[in-house]
Amino acid sequence: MKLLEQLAPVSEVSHRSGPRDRVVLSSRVRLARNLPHIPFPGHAKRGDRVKAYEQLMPIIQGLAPLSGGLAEPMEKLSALDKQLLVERHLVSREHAAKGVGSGFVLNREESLCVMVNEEDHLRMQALRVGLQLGEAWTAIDAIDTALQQKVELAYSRSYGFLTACPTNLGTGIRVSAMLHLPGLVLAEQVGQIIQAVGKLGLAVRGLYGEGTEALGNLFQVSNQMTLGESEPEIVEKLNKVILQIIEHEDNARKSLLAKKPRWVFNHVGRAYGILCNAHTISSKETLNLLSLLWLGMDAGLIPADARPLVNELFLVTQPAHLQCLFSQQEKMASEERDVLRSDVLRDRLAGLARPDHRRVASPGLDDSGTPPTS
Amino acid sequence: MECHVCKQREATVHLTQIVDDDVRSLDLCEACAKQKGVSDPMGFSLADIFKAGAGEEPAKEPVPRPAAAAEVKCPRCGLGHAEFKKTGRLGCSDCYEAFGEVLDAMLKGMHKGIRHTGKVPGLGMPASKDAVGVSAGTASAKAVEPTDGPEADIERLSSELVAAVAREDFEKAAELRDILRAARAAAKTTLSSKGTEA
Repeated sequence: MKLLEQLAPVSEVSHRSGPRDRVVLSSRVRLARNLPHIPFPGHAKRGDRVKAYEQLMPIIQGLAPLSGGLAEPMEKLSALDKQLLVERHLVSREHAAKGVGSGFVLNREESLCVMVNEEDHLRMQALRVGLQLGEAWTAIDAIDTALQQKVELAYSRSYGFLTACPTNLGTGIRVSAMLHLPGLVLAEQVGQIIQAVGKLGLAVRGLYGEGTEALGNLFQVSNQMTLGESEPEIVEKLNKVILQIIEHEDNARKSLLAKKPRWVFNHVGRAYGILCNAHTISSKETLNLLSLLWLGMDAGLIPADARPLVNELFLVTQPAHLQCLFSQQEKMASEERDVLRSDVLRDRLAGLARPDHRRVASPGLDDSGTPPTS
Repeated sequence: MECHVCKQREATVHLTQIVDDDVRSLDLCEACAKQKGVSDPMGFSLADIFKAGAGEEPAKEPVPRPAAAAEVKCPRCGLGHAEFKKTGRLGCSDCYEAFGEVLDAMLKGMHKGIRHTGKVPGLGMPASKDAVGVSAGTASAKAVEPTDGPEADIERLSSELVAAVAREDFEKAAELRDILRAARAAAKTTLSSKGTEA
């Protein structure tokens, strides 16, 4: 059976919603854990790696919240399958490059995913839609506690949980949220926010984590320090910072719509125009333009019930999803995919009415509004 | 602008690196950049290029490391100090003992503290578990209805342990941890495990 058929249907994924999901697309908490004395995956010889894998896979699959889910060794997956998992943010790009002696376990709801032999023996993560960092922490904490009943983990009283990279040492926790910040990007304020967040010891990254660029106005904010603070302290710190970023984003959008409504409408209208009429389009351009449709929806230019459609397009226009869903070919050149992508976009957006600024009550367009304060 | 290394082709790759407040910049053509491994951010430092390159702007000598540190090897997995320096990754859990001294200095610049204050295996969180945001320092136990039986014992032991950890009495804490582990194991059959959502 094909991997895509074993994952949640795209239509279901695109209907998921959560608190504050206009700005916070998803929340994630991951824990890094290792077996004592056995070399970490990056340093292990094949034999040790396979040994750790064979010990851990059945234990992980046996944990109640993960039982009945999907468990696969990485070497069984095609490059395309691995890319599907990356596009769904279930495994990291690093993990997708792995083969023999690595694998993953995913629960049915796709809210928990454990990578075996990524950089550490175990990378366990809980995912939630919207701003739900506390919930994600509680879920992964429970998995971790259950795991510790079954297997001894590498732990030192002074250093805490021991990890391959000292940057993850101690709690082994990485708390992160995927933020959609078109307002701050258009207002050219996102640089200041990134700087301010950096000063707090947090990291800002692009769509696919470490070393990736910000596409579609999406930014991942996460903690960097893992030692000397407790997990709840780290979760709460992130939560506070993200609430502040949401506020800045909301203000930026309001201010733009009040001061330069035509300029915002122009962005959204052109995005719609290109997406509906292009005959070849890259995934990068698509992500950037779909981001503007989201913005248009939040601003009221596009009916809110189109959200699942835009969510779906966001996922299915990414290379692996596009190819698996709409092509019979095993291999496609990116130029071929660009044409296919535009076909899918024109087809799926045919039913979406064009953005209508008359739906938006903006003080910049009539005399009734009060002048905006910045 | 010509390439710093070959001095023939046009420089198209421009680099700036800050090492210990020392700013160095370098302009390379694509061929030389590739040859020097500039596309691989892990394996490259400007200092190496300056050293191997045209010889001008002599690079600062790296701070000499104590000979002892250079020879440290993990007795378990054989990872050497030099390799650790290069990759930034340790080889196994025992490396933390082998490289302890080198690590502490490194961890200071990396983390908020150099001692773990979070979750402890077999014990869970030092602070009350359900309250996200409660700092680990609050050692006072949650007010619980006094109940008989193993649950009350575990509750009491937990708070004693939290207090021990808070005052950094790790020997006592370890002792309590072992007692608690035994108590938990004994109570496991009677306690219903907390279900997790999803």
